[in-house]
Amino acid sequence: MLVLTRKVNQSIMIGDQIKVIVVDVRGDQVKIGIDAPKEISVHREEIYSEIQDENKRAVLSKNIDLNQLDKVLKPGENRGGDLVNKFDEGR
Amino acid sequence: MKIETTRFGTIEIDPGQIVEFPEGLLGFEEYQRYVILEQPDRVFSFLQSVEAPWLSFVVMIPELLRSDYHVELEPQFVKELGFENPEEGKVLVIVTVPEDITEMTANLQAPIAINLKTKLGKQIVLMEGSYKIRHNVLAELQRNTYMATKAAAE
Repeated sequence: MLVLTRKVNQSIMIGDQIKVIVVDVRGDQVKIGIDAPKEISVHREEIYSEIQDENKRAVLSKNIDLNQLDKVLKPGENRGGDLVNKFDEGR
Repeated sequence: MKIETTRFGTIEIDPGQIVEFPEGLLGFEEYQRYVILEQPDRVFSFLQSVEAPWLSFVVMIPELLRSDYHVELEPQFVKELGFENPEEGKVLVIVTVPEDITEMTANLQAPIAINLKTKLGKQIVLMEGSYKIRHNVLAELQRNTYMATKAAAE
């Protein structure tokens, strides 16, 4: 791995389109700015494991009563009606 | 064809409706084929694995939670999913339903993009910004309905 030393406000270019700048350093926290073309996505590495965990939590449990799912949206009939209409428009 | 499911029993599906996720969903990379079980006039649908009976997710249309929700696919994903026309697309979000159903949350940061024509799908990770992994569904629905009512009144 390439390791470079930079000071606050100094930056690094990756290729000629991606710029990484050290915005601020406080204790063990580093604030980093990234300028990259729109088609390149930038994520914290942990986001992938957070989404993996959330997907695992989302697997439909046996304990969930599926009939309750839609009922919980309709405490009053009017609101329920609105939601169904919106659903139809959305399709 | 018939498939086995834990929650819905044995169901008959049209093989032409199977959506392939070449990379699976995050955390479930080994399962690639799903069907969307839609319920007419219902808010929630299900994304059911064709390969694993127990693997099923509650999904919904994100616009119900945020009317301005949109996903801008990166060019590489447009190519991967074989998009020729945005009309071919469908976006769903996964809903996590805990024991207390009123606490259910929708993952607006990692929506599922499907090309209905090529039947290819992918879970997209959006850059951090307006959308999070957990949005309370009931609160967002209420807010969205309120905004819509307000807009209609103006």
